[in-house]
Amino acid sequence: MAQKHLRDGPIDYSGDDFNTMICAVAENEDKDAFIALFEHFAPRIKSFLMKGGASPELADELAQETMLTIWNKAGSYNPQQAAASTWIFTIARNKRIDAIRKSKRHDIDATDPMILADESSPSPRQSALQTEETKILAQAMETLPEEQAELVKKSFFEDKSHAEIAAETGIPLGTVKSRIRLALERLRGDDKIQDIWQ
Amino acid sequence: MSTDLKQSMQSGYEALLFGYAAGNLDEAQSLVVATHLTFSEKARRIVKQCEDMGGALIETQCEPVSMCDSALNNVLSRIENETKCAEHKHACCQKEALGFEIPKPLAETVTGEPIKWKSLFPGMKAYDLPLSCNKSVARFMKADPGHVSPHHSHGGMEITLVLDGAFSDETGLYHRGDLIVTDEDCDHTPKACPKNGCICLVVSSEPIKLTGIASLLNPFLKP
Repeated sequence: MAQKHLRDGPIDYSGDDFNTMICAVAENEDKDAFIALFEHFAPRIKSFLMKGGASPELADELAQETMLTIWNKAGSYNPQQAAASTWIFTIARNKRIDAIRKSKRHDIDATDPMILADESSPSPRQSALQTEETKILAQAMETLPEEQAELVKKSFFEDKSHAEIAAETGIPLGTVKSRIRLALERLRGDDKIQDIWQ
Repeated sequence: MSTDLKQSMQSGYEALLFGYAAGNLDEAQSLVVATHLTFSEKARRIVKQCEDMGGALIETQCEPVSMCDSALNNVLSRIENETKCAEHKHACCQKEALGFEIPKPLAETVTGEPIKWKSLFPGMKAYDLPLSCNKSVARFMKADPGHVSPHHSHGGMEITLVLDGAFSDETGLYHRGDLIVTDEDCDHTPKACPKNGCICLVVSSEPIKLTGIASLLNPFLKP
């Protein structure tokens, strides 16, 4: 993990450096850092789940479960690979799949000896998105054409499959998929995003 | 290959990875994507980009909703009282099932299940994976060297991951680790590698439909 061997004593975190707070939870079981994470993220996770139709009670319960998992799995968080918000999103998403979609999800196992690295591709940058960069990405997403932004939100918030979106909106399935690809291409083509996604 | 078909396959591929990141896939679909991710760094990067989008939406589009008064204390007391449950995953990349190593998500699914191939038509065998959800069907398909599948189209989306050997069709040549997403527009004739044949993991939302004279076999293809 990042600079683990360089640190002596408590981790210094300040402001909204959530990446470092998760590391503090992992390395020192730092409750203050955890409470700061809770206060920032739990109400947002609750809001995220309610957008998908969860009742306030269920959303509250799942947000608590998400926070508990953050505490338990902080050791597996790698700040070089994922921004705090990205990692926390994936945990909340998985809680939603378990509890609301009631479906089993298969995940890549990061320790799988069969994982292949592509040597021809550029080496990934040395750190994940910082909070500021997450906001830059969010701003770029705001500028997506309405038809693309709508699909992105329906997928993330309402947990609709592309076939469900096509059936609901009357947009042909092929168009739904090409709009998603166009949204991704557009973000990748944005100068600022290129710097942070590389 | 026509540009349209190529574009449509590329859209299908990216939309599938996006759906995986957003959490919208069913069990069989998530299994084939997770297995593909083990093989492809490029795919892992796309999923990561989509997950960054999810993180950005949580950060900026989810107006905080107050947690109930006892929430924080609840979680803190569970932290005090519950021991961390470490996750143990024992499934190794087993060779027994298929005769070659397979990534963990798949190995976990076939553990303890000897593969009992059933013949689909001459030169082609299949094995349906035991999944708890039956929304989409996941099956191994094994084609003899040089086998040419009957001309067929798909009722819905079909996701094919090459696990061993290779195959080619009108759209290209595919090797171990490659993932191909086709939909009902794609009417194709896959041909297995003449030397090694091909074993694929195929996930389909609806049964394959043979076209032309081979359509007489359709009643036998129902899962």
